[in-house]
Amino acid sequence: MSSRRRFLASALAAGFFTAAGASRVRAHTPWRNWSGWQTATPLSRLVPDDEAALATMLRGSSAPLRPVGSGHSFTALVPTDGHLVVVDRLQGVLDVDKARAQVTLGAGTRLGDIGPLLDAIDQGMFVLPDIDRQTLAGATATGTHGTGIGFTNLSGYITRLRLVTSNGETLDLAEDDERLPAARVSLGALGIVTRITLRTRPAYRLTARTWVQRTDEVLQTFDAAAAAHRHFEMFPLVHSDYALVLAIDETDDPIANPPETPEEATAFDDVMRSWMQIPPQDRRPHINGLAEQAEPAERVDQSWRILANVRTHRFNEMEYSVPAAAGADCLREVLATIERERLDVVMPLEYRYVKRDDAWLSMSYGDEDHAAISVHRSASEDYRPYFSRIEPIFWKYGGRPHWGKLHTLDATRLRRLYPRFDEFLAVRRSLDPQGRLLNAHLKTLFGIA
Amino acid sequence: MSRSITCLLLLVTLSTGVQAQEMTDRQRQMWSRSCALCHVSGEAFAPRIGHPEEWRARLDKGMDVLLTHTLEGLDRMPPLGYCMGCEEADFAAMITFMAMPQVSP
Repeated sequence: MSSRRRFLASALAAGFFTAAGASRVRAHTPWRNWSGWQTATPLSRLVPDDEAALATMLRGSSAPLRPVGSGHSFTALVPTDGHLVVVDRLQGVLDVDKARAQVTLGAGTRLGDIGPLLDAIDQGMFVLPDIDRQTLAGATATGTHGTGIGFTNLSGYITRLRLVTSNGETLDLAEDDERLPAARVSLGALGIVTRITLRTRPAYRLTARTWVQRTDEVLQTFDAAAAAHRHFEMFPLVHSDYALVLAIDETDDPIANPPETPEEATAFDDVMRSWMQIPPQDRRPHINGLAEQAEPAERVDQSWRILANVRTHRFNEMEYSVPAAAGADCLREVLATIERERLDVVMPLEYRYVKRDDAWLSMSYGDEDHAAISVHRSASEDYRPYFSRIEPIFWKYGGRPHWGKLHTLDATRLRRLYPRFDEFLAVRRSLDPQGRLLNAHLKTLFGIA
Repeated sequence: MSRSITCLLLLVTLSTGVQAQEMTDRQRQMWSRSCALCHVSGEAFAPRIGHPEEWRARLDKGMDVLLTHTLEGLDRMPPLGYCMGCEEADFAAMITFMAMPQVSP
């Protein structure tokens, strides 16, 4: 473009802003999370171009810091009145070790971008969470997981990571570093993670089958189904006898996955809206009637297109992981409580298994696989009355909260749930002695005044 | 004001043959991993880039309202539109870019 055209463009665009009344651009752009319930006004946004720039930025300030991925955490992990550190520009494939089936990615790479990036080198992720808009750093730091008794949370596939500490020091933590199990699920409290090496596998295709079945039937055979399928989960429809069931397996079948229209993508939202017009105690026949008419469906596609879904209906979520052996009883009690107390809820629950692992703050840390149970509330509604009624049920079954999803636990209770809790805190103190990476929420979690 | 906005956008297009608010390379990169997630395909009923008719009613509300909706979220659009590193001026540039008729250079 000629300089004349460039001048005209910028001059006239400036006129547009004035005409549109956009002159009140604030000095400090506010921040909100995906659901809109967590807010902050950061001192600044640090958006480094590379690791060296990040280290320079961190050395150049003594103000508090918090890293942010894509803002998908429902908890107050991010809010800060200090610097918000955005690693968006640290993205993409940085190294491929096909012999060891490991790929190094920038920590700001979105999960949804990893699939096509790995496809191009005939590699794939073992598993992905239900939503893939998160960054790799954010998803792993919060212990975010997918579905399947054979699959740990995402952080379980990390073999190496690099972080820049709050004083600007760059650290590479490999598998032989005793701090790696702390850094894999770190809540962004040890430093700013800049690159992550993951175990991968050859690219593959999956077939997803969905159907509707009575919730009690699914629960009775859940263990066998979870063992028989690569991924198996269900979404119990509250105030009904049914659940939506999802089974995913590897396949060589050709791709058959027509894209949803926006109307199809929001059809279930419309159904839920109609249920909200009916008192909770009267919904059962309506929901059962619809469930009994639901047709099974099947689709085939590359793994990353099957494992993750686009969720545009914004909500808040609470999720606890309980030992798998206690999962069915816990879920039954949650469903019975919703029913008995006529809680006015329409969003389905989610019930799935996650494999045990050894990251110190992983919800599945230890020698037991876990059942993850989620409850949701539309972002436009106050989630607190509902979640506060359900949360004690999770406690009763020894539940550990998902770090990115809403809960009310503090250090006293968390220490009882996580055997390596104090060791994590010791690593945190050694890497961030000034506590620059702490905010009010983390201080509550860690018991720091 | 609404017609003046649309007219101004069109005027810029006609006089320069390019988008009115040319984004910087940095803004373009940020846009491609945030706004573009929905505003290219129209996912979640988002107004699409290159379809000024889908933006007209929104432009009528003025840039302040559009910026407020961007920062706070609206319906299916999440706050900040997935751009955690964007400042308000970046969002203003991106909105203008998307609302413009797209023409070949």
